[in-house]
Amino acid sequence: MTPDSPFADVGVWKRSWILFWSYIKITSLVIGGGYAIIAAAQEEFVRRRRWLDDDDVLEMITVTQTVPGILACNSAIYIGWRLGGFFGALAALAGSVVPSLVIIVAIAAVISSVAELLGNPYVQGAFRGVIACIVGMVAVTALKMRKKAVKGAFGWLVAMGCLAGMSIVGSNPAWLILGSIALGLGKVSCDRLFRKEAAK
Amino acid sequence: MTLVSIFLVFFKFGLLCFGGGYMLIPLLSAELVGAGPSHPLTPEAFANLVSIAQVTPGPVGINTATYVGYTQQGVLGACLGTIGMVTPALFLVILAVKLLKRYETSIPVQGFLTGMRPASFGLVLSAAVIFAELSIFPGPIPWQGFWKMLADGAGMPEGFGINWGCVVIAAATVPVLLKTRINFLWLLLISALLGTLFCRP
Repeated sequence: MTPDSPFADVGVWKRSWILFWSYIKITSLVIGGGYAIIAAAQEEFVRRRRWLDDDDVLEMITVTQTVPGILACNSAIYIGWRLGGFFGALAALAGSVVPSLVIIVAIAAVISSVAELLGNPYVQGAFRGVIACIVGMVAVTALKMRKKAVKGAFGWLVAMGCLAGMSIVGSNPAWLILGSIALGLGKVSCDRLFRKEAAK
Repeated sequence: MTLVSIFLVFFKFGLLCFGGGYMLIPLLSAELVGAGPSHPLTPEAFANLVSIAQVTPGPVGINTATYVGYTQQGVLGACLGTIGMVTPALFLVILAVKLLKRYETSIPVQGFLTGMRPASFGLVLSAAVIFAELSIFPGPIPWQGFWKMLADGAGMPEGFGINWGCVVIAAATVPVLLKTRINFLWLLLISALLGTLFCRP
């Protein structure tokens, strides 16, 4: 358990159960994978329950994208760890994968007829409606992190570079992430160097 | 594939998949699709899998791991594929958080944060664009067609259109989420209902 857990007075079982159940609800209803689930988790744990704040979300998204693995699970591990320690991380992680296991195993035998069902215009309409709602949800997540994430011209350059790289060029996000880290390291080193020079 | 090899293959994917589940698809197709016992998926099965994994709820990567594991060794295989996939991250995420706290003021951590914070914002925005391409627009945005339209005065790129029902849902979601305390799960259900009425292709 981490010392900064905002509901330290709740027992570890109760805490883990809430994490598990919240993630079950999120991943059994949210379509679209990683970013959609992160946006939904942000809604649940920051806006509704107020157990984490915007700084935590920024750290969560930063860590989630850098560490290899499934984005949604990485964010579940982060939130679980922050709120309930290792056991909380396990509970949130379990909650984020159990619905997938159940749903996929249930439809695996009939997967080709499910693929046909996707052509149905009503099914497509419902799918598009949900995804459109997720566009708004992800946009809200971006809006909330902007002030703390993007600072000055350097920040905008990196942010817009990543956006253009992903959406227009279609680059591999791993390279964008590595490039951004390299630029950040360069900037911080230069800043410190100049500050030293100026101090002299 | 044996149970052990399912676990190991997905453990490896869990270590290699930087930047999220979308990166998993090229890894998977290189490793698992083809002929022979070492490549357990046919190209058709793989295509079905990718389209299903994206429209069923839950993380796309987990849906994929579960399905591949299930086709090989049933429910136990599905569980092991999933567990293998998330095990590296369980330790790496916790390690990363601890390292960030511990070396907060060092140049490497400061440099990492200086670069990754704005990058995260850009990547989240690009996710919104991807979702828009699945709902508001009929497919990937035809940038080249747009450049042409601007440069040579050519018409709208062929096949491009806007699903206004989706635009309304997306635009309405933002103020509702910012101003009210409605549970977003209701919002998703309402959107699905409205979608069957107003967002059909």
